[in-house]
Amino acid sequence: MDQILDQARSLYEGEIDFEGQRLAETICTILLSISGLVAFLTGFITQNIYQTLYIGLGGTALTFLVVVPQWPFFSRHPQPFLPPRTGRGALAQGISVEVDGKKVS
Amino acid sequence: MHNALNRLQTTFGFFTTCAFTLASIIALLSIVPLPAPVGSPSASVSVRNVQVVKGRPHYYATKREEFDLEADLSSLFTWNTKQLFVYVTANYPTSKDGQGGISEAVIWDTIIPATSTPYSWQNLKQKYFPDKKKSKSKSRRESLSKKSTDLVKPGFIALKNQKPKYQITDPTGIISERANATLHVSWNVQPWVGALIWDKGYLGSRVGQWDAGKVGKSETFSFPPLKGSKPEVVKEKAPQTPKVGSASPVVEI
Repeated sequence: MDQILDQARSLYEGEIDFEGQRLAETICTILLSISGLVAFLTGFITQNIYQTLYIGLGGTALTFLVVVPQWPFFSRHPQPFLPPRTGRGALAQGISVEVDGKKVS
Repeated sequence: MHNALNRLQTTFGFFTTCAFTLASIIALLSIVPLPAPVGSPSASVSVRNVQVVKGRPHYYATKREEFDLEADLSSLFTWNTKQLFVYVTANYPTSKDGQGGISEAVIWDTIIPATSTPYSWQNLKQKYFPDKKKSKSKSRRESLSKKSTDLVKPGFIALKNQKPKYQITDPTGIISERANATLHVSWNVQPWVGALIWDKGYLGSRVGQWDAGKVGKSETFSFPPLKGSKPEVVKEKAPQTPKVGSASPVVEI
């Protein structure tokens, strides 16, 4: 039960790793700027402001679709965390932690 | 960006920045103006028939007249024009020696929307979601309003014997027998994004160059005397109280 809840929470939160965040920011900036530029040029050349509006809104919708959900290509560089260990396991593996001269675990 | 919600917020923020920048560029280009206007607007108005009648509220004397209006304002319609507001005012000096300034009263106005392109919202909705049930009642209303929106080149006005929409009056209550009155036609461009452009203002001289004092002005006319008034009856006689004694209104102390 906990596992299912955890998966649901992870899906809702949509966490991605750090490289994925950098990629998301780059994609968002580039896509929105390009759609704004294309929208302006199209409207200016055809002298029709509705073209600007539709292309601009369409480009924004596309950006939202690409950036916001938790796509797999955002999670290609997962953060290498240390393996979890309990206190007894640490002793067994020969790792010792000392605090103020006293052995803790 | 670590969160889907966070990505949504950041993207939306950048979208509003882009949209605002785009809108200000469009507004700036409309004022420069960058696709330079092909012509300049022109208009002429003339008075036909002026009547001054006694009005009912507060017994003001109201004025009603007819006029001819011909105008070519098509050069004011750019891609950024949503609609054009055209109005005719009657201007007259408030006092005989010209000290009070000029009174302007609007007698007629109209809104000319820009050409409905194939991409405008109404046309797209009609194309993809045509409503069949309401088509009977809507078609009558639409056919009445289509006369003004289906102009191939909007901005051409030719009116003859046009009756004014509004009857005007004067703050003093008496508009009859005022001289040196003229009719002026003026316009105001309402854009999709950007500043309003009045014909008499600085922006108007950049966009639609016309001599705001000379073009669009009718010849001078005077308001006629009150309709149905005889020249003898000028003042009402104040009611007279019969004299009984001599009571003087002034009390001397």
